[in-house]
Amino acid sequence: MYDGFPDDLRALCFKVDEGIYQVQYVSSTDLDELLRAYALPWRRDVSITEVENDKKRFPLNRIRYSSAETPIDLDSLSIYNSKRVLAASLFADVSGFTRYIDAATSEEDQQTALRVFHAIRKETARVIKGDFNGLRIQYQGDRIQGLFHLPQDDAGALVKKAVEAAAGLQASMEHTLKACLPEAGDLHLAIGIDLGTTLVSRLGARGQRDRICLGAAVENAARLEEQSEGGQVGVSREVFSLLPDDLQLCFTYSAKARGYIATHFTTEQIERVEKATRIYGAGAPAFVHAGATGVTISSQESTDARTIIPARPYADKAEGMV
Amino acid sequence: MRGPLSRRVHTPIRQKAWYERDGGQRLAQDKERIASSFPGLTYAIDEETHQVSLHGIMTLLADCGIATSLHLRIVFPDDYPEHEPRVYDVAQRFPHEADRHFYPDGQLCLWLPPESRWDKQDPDGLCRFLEEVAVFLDQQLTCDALGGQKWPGKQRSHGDRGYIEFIPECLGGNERLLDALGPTLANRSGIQRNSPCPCGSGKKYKRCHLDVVQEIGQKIGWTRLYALFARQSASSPDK
Repeated sequence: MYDGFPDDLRALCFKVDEGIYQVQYVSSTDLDELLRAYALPWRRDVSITEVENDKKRFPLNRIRYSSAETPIDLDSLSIYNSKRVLAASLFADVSGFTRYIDAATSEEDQQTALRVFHAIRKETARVIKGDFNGLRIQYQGDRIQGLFHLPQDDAGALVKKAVEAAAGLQASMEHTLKACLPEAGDLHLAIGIDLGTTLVSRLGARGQRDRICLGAAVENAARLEEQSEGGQVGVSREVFSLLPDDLQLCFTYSAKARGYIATHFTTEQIERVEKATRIYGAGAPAFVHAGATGVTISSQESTDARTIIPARPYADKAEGMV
Repeated sequence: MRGPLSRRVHTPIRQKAWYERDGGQRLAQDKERIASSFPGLTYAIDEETHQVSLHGIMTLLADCGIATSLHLRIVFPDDYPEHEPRVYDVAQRFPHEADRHFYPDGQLCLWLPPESRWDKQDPDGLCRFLEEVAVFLDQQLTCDALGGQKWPGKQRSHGDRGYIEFIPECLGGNERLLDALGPTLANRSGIQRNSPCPCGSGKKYKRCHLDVVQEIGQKIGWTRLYALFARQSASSPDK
């Protein structure tokens, strides 16, 4: 874009990095000159009048928000009816999707890419809404924004639910979607989560309203998602501190992300970490059943399972161990 | 003239391989049980070396429905079922390190040999053994879920220290008793059956701790037990 600019616009820019330019501060006088020079229709006085009119249309005493004890009905929200809730915000982005789309040059590849895109969108929304009773706020390209606000004001339960939803999303991506769509093999989800007071509303012209969430936690969840790589889940310090001890074991602090990161974090991993506490850590019996489909190892007794107290493994270094 | 006997060639009589004994009953029995409980594993018999092994996939199912397939090779010793098979992580799914209880060649270190759960008399012993293997592999997956640094559950120390932990447990965790019986276990006391028991009970050794010492020696193996105490003595000369 910079290369296509005329000289007077180029003069307003400075180089930030290789191939990246930023427009520097433009004074009102310079801006008016540019508008005239390029015959642009934007007028300062008209814009100011519009804002003044909006202020009159939406007097502060009519703008209301309330808490939510039941799932928020996003369609009922407006500037006059917003919600202010303690909520866990979640952003999930398909890592590698841009590269995947760029590589799809033939018509068939592009059709395949669109089908993958559609499947991922649908499945991620289903997991957030269907499996974990969360809200699908909006899609932003290959990114989905979710919100968990129930049980009301229960911070511990909210973060646990959001983190379990993140594990569900990762499991769905890695196991369900890839099993059905092998062409999505190189795609992974990067997820960010934070907790905080969030304003939930729907703004815009009637019929074209956008669902919006405002709050520091929303921005931080988006930032943590951007700092996470495919297959990872990033959470804030507050979310980490509210997680049960066994789930905390899955996360390590990342100075770069300014948060805690879990890698290959799926529902199966959560189950294993819980199993580490319930069976292996407690020295409790494992109930083992071997059958046609595989071996299940559970903490729950069942009639056809054998009871095994896990043995104490050993390594004999004297016999060639490293 | 050479008689017919002089033309006879003496070929050594080959001892039957374990899977040929009793009309191959044990192998047939094992095959049937493996087919129903571990259908991903198949037998291979090398007719030249007579080595029998099981190859293939063991699938571990999580409650959430996710299946993890692990590629294994199970090698049967020549004296099977007297001794347990050896199991290998063929695809190097886990790091082959001592702290993860693997030998460098991928063999699983399931347990301290004297604590082996192998039951040669049990007709279902192989399936029971593979279920123990499944629990070990499940612990490996759990260890991965915990970041690969922390072993989930109890484990033995490596090398001699594993045995040093085991011996006091056989004596009910009684350290004083271990000190008293140590020279006997190390074959340094020259004790006789009718001598007073070193534990200080006043009873004859044969009526007191002889059986326990015999049991420890048989479980660990006398040669190994003596060598173990010799190494301990060399590393701490004051004891």
